Amino acid sequence: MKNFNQKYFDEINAYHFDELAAEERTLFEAMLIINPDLSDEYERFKSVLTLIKEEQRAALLQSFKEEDKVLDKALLHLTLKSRLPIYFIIATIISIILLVFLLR
Amino acid sequence: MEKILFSAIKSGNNEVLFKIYKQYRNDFIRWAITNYKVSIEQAKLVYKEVLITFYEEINSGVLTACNCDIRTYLFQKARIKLVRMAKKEKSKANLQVSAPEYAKKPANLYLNQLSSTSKMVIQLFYINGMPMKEVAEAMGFRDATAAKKKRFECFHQLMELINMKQQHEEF
Repeated sequence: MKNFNQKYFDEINAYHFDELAAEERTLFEAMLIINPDLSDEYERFKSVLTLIKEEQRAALLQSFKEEDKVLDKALLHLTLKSRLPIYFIIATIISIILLVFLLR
Repeated sequence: MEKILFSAIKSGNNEVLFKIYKQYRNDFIRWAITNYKVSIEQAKLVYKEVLITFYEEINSGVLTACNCDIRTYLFQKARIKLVRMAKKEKSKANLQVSAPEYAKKPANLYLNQLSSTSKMVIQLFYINGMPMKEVAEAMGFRDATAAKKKRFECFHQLMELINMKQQHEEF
């Protein structure tokens, strides 16, 4: 981070987020080749961006998991409710078998 | 309605996203289990991933409007993942539910160490893709130049935190 200053940083942002005009873009790309400090900074910039995005994804995932605690209860309730007809049929069949067995 | 939702997400209002998550989540799980024969855990994971992709697409400007309603859009997006998952399931008897790499990382480890203003500046620009002029307006900075100065300071702080953590790990 030797030569990390705001001018470099603003240029890196503008380049990365496609805010430069065609000529400026070409110039910046040439600078990336001839200036190893700038090139290093750009690589570091990209790695920090990746980290920011991963942190955000992890935060969203955590928030979703917190919502899940409540939603899972409703899901279980609905699953049981949707299976009620099956349970009813099974219970009826068992009752009939038992009844036939007892009548014999 | 959809435009309002999109602009709310883009302005950093995650509550809207959580509302969408809650609204369709259980319907999605039942639909996925019934139609693609995946487990509940797999369906839950796919839904989370689809919502995160949806969020990132809105923020990056890839998604500006849906041709259909949000529910249909999310279910369509998930279909490819579910088909792939169901195929794997057939070829492998006991498929483990593998969480994505980012799920193993702590949430906002570095961002939470910044001040709330710095965190917000980073989030609005780098996550929500908000132009600096709008960041300045949202955060009450004088103008875009002042907001850029703040962005530089925040990013610098973040880099220092990462450096410190890396150095700490090396020792």
